[in-house]
Amino acid sequence: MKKVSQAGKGELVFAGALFLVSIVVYWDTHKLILPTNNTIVSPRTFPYVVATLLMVASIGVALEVLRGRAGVPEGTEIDTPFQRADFRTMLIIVFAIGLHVFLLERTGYIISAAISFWGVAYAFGAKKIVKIGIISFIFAGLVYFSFTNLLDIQLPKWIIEEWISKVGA
Amino acid sequence: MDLKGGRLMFDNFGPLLDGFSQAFVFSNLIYGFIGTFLGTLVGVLPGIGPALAIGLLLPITLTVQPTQALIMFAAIYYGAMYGGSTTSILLNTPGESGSVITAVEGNKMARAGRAGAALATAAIGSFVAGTIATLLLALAAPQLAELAITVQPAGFLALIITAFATVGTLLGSSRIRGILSLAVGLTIGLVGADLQSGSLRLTFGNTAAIDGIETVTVIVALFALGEVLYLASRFKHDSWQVIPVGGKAMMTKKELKRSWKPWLRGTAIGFPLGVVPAGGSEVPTFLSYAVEKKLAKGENKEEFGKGAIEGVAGPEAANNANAAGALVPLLALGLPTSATAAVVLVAFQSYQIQPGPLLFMTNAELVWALIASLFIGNTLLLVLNLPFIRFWVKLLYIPRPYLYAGITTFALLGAYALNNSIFDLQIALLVGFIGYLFRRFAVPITPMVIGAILGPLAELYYKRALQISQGDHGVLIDGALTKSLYLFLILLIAIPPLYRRFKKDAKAQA
Repeated sequence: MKKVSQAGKGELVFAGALFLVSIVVYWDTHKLILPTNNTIVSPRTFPYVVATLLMVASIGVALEVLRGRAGVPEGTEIDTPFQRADFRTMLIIVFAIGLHVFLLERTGYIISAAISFWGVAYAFGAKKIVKIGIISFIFAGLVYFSFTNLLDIQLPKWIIEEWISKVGA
Repeated sequence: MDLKGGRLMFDNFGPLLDGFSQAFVFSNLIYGFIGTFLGTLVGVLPGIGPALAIGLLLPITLTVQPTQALIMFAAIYYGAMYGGSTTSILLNTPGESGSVITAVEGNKMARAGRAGAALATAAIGSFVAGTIATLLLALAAPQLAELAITVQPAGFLALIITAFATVGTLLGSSRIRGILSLAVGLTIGLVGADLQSGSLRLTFGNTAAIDGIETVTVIVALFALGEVLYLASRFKHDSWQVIPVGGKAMMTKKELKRSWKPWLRGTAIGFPLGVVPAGGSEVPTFLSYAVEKKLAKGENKEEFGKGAIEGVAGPEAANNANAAGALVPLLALGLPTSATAAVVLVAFQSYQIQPGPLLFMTNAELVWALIASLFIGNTLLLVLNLPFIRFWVKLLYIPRPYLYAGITTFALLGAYALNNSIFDLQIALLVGFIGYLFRRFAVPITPMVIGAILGPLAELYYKRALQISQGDHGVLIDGALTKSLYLFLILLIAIPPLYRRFKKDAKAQA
């Protein structure tokens, strides 16, 4: 057994998490309330098969890693030295998306979309904060206008959206 | 045999002509045009593929006529293939898996100042392959559908399991990772009320989860949010550089002479591998590349690795032929074998149209208009692409922060707009993170998509088969189709390890 690399340790955690998911599927299937009428195939059969497959595959991947065959990240070569993920950039993006999810039905589409656009652009290194802010709002406004007025797909409204739909009408 | 072949040709010719007359209706042409434009756009932009583009536009199925929407989606599908090659050649960042191989020789050609020739052979090769493959599609799909009418649920189950196995084991760096991806997809497919009994699975008391997890949300989140998060995680390490196109996108006579055979060979490899579920466009493009490298002679052979035009022409043709081939099982059997085909399936379903053996009877007009519009779209693409290549290249200069912010915005919109559901958005964020982890740990993504879509279908056929047989499991391997499919599967799984052992033994003896 080879020494597990830094990247391999991460992958072991990943495989372990999926192993836990398979346990959750077993548990959920086990406590499933069965229908009173007699069905030929129980609603439990298929989930048990899936949970088993997930469990076996996650163990298999863990074994691969322990044998020294950790996955080579997409877009890199096999001998690329380990690169720590840029967690700061990732966190900003996750936060921006989370904020979008939280705000969407509270402040309407344009504000929440502008915030997530701004957040992602900032995370990817856009420097001029005010300029990105303006672009974000213009972009979100254009998307809102073209989807609601041209494609007839309704998105959450608030003050700005009400105003736009009055102008568009 | 010849006589029969002639009859078959004739049978499909009439409806295809009707299809053309439908497709040439002005409003349909417009949608085809918009589709080719959008398709090329998303193909060129790194990070967005055809699956995401169609997924994003799915909400229009609420307002647009089925024929028009499907024509547009088909055009996006083909268009993205064209656009993808541009990005591979000039930026060395393949937008979708089918263009990975194109980047190998194509980018080298571009670096050597031969970008124009690489782009031209890719575009014309795609056109040639697309046209031949669409013709084959028009011939094959109805015949396959006719054959499939007699297929029993057990047969469909066997087909789906075959698709699972091939997609799961052929893609990515290792088989076990492919199977893991498939299993995660199947788990996602479990969520919600069981179709037959109504038992709630994996909903954890959440009422929004009862209807299950929206396929489109999964696809959009995996391909867009997963990609953006992954790029963010490597933000410090990556840089990109667009290679300018010197001169026009054209080939010399010699380059044309070197290209046409690879185009035809690529088509011959790509189409059949699209029809049988071989897991998307990776396998055929790699295979075509290997064939071209093997067949090349003299100084052409020496060019491989330094920018050989055959290495662009063959795989690009294979990629396009493969895309058309994947439409055969989609239309005739209702089985998607690639992520994009899966989204197109969802588009059909949102019109309450179920692709499958009966499609050519129940919705003949629509299907033939769709196939005819593929021919038109393919021609439009050639016209749109080569002369306007400079315009498309400009897209590569969009600053990265804005590009990724835009992709994220569209992905979130696509995830939300289909059902106007915040729950879908939360799922999108979660699945996007899974998509990041998959990329990080070299787990292929397509098996997960296929698992999430075909999993519930597999369970349905399993139950139907057992209902017919009154619970006798023997029905599952009853009949020639199921037996031969399972035999094929056993061979597929058993041969590579046996082969490796055999090679080891041979080495030990030598």
